[in-house]
Amino acid sequence: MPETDFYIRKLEQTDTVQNFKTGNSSFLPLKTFLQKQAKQFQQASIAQTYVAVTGDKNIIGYVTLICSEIDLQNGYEVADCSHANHYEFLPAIKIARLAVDTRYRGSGIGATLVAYSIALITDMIAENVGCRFVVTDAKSEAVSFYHKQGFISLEIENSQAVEHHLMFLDLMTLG
Amino acid sequence: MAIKTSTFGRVELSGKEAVCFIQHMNNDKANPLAMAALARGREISEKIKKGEAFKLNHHA
Repeated sequence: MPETDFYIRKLEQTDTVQNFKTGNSSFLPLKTFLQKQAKQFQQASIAQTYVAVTGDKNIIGYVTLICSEIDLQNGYEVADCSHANHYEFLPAIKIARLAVDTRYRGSGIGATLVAYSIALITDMIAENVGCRFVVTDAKSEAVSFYHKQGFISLEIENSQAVEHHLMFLDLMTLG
Repeated sequence: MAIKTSTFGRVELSGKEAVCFIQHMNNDKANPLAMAALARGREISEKIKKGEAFKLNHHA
């Protein structure tokens, strides 16, 4: 693994994205998104991407956040806010994409990006706008990683056969 | 399957999964792992504001 420091900031339109490597073909959508879509999503204010970059502006990891919602189709009751029971959806932010360049995996970049996202969502979004959950659709091999960051996975039938696992963090459990 | 979710979209829960989610929502207590992640995230935010670099953690 190359010895280098890195910085975290928003994706910039001038960033070079073509050198990002994801290795296994199952990660190809993550590479394609960064190289072909992330800047457009950002420019259109659909989703915001935060990148881990080396001093020479080489992107070595990224996380993409987007507004989401949780629709509990059978209705729900929020024990600590009965007035909210009238609303159809619960507000959430989704970690839509999280990827680390294959040459830098296992070096804490993913955990750093997720921790930063949790702080950003808690302190900037939930604090100023209102948001109850962080959600993500985790690949099977990423479930353990998200558990270590405090995410909960729903216990569902046939979970072994599912490609993506819904995982969530209730911001009300952060003290 | 009572979970419908898309990468850039909403999450729909029904049936057992919705019940499970509501139980979590109303009963879960403080989450130490998430609180630790939040604390780390706040330290990271401060470093970002100061323009400081991060070290690769080879033991992560």
